[in-house]
Amino acid sequence: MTRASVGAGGGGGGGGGGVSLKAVVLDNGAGWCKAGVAGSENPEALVPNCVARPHSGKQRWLVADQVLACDELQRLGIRRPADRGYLIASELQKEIWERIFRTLLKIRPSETSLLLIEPPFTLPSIQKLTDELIFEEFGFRSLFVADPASMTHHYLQHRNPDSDLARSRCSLIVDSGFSFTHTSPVVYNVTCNAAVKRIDLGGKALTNYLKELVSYRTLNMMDEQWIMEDVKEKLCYCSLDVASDMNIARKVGAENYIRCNYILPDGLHFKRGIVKNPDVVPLAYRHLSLPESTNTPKSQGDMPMAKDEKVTVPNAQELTVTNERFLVPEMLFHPADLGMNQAGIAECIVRAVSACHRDLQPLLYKSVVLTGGTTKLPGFKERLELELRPMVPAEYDLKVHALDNPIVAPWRGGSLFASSEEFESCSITKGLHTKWQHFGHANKNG
Amino acid sequence: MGGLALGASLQQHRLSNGTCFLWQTAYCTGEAYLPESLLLVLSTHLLLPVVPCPHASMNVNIARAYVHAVFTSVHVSCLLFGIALFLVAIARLDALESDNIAMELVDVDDDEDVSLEDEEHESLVYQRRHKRETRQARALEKLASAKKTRSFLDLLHEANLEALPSHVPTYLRAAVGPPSSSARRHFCSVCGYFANYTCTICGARFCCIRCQKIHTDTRCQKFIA
Ligand SMILES: Nc1ncnc2c1ncn2[C@@H]1O[C@H](COP(=O)(O)OP(=O)(O)OP(=O)(O)O)[C@@H](O)[C@H]1O
Ligand SMILES: [Mg+2]
Ligand SMILES: [Zn+2]
Ligand SMILES: [Zn+2]
Repeated sequence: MTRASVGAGGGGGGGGGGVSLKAVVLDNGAGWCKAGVAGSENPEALVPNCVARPHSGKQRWLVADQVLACDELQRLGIRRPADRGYLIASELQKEIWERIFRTLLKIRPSETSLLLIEPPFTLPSIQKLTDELIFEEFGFRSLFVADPASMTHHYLQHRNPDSDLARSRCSLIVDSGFSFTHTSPVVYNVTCNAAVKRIDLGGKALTNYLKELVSYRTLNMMDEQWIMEDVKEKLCYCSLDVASDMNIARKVGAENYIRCNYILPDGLHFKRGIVKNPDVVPLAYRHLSLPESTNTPKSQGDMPMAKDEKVTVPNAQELTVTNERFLVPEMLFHPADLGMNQAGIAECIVRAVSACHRDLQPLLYKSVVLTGGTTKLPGFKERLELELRPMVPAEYDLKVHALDNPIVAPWRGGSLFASSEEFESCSITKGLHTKWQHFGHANKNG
Repeated sequence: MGGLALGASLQQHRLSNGTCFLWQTAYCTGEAYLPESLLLVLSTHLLLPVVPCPHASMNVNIARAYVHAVFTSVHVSCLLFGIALFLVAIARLDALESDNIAMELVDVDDDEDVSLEDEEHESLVYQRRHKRETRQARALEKLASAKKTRSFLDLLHEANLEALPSHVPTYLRAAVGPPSSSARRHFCSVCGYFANYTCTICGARFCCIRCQKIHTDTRCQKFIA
């Protein structure tokens, strides 16, 4: 492996004093790209990692941020450069990065260092593909590759220097994004690869499962991945008592506060889908203390709100969901219910921790951190604690930390690291990369 | 794992005419098609021989009878069941990984169309940007309509991670593995409620007589698994 990896450098970041070189941080998630200049608080570009085209169309393909502005969401055709979380279509990825680097960030790669956050266990062939894209197609000056877990850890360590995490320098990072869910022990600021465990389920699988359930039961939504993703983000939650929620979801009339209606976008009256009864949504998880942001879906601004059930919109098509709201996230906790031969997320954590040295285990359980978009599901933290507590030895403290903005946490860690003084000495320059490549070749042939 | 031993013993029964056992079990589960890449992965996990099936249109009963005839010494039904479940689980995962890609592709615009819009009085900057955008539009058109690039599973197979020494952490070794308890909840396929009953024809679950009726009237055997 010719790649630099994060860690050994230890604690202190200089906080940007006299850094001459411009660095860009890119968390290239399979669902969303987060990109921005190192040192900022948030990535300037937070865009879908895909190209898409409205079904009707003669229109051209929309790239990254353009997809977000699309007003014709029905049967949106989507192409992604990643498969199961890993980059496979580098040509397509190039078009998306081109849009991000040149149009959105307006940077000159030849004068810029790149910190790339890449999923763990990226195959050597995919690493090579990625390196070629970065050095040959874009011509970045230098590159540093990091994994999401250590970057999330890095971010928390800086944000909260008095925490258990910062003092013990150990944490267990649960990253549940779009493609998969990783539980990674970080020990002395370095991700312990040998102990990382993965569940092959993430936000994408949840969306597709919701799509299947709804299509089988009520309305054919099989071609509506984009819309169903929004339905999931606005309506799904993790139940703390499945049996009781199940019974409520079965009731008729107003007693059933789990049932919600979603008005599907039609490209005419409704350019975006909206929840018809937004006041009802949080009732299902009202006993949780949630960060405020979860209750107010972002893109409702200019849309007419159907507050009253009686308000009818001409030809508006509605989707009704009841127990799907919590049955879909159940999948992460008990994949076996769906006939999948994988342990659930709580067991996944236990296995990752158990693969580490005994003395480290209490430290890891003390700092379980949730990152990745899927952990934004209301009740995720509480449900996980509920499942995890009985599996953890009683004498160990168990603390699960949810983040306010889990989607950008790894990026923020990257942003901190890339603006520190160590960064430059850690990254690989283009020249060095070429040299190593020749070395690798010579080795293979000789 | 049971799967491995089972696969190993099957390997000795490799059919002389090159027909793949896996293809046939795939038919038995009702999956009309399994992508080549999945078969490759199956073959490495289960050590089953994988060769293209010459009878692409083989029907379920013929395939079953065929397998019976070849593997008389083994409990075929058990084997089939075990492998079938495995295949269904994998096929499920594959379904959960799919994107919205079914859509018609529009012809790539010809160069003439573009030059019409290139009015002389437009600024140079605009022209340049415009040019870049058209280039990108065309590139995307080509990329999107191109045959699928090699999938992750293809690349995974090529990487031959099994060959690495056992202490090296790899993608394969990071998989969480099966749950410690095989307990499984069943939900009604019609309404989602806890299900206590099973359809004797297709195996779907339902919770009450009302849902059973809806099931038999409208969707029995519509989907497998
Ligand atoms: N409020 C929400 N509730 C549920 N899911 C959400 C919410 N917000 C975002 N998500 C899901 O989170 C996923 C995106 O998360 P994230 O950006 O962390 O993934 P990623 O980094 O692109 O993917 P990966 O790291 O797995 O390749 C999407 O599947 C999205 O549907
Ligand atoms: Mg991610
Ligand atoms: Zn039912
Ligand atoms: Zn049936």
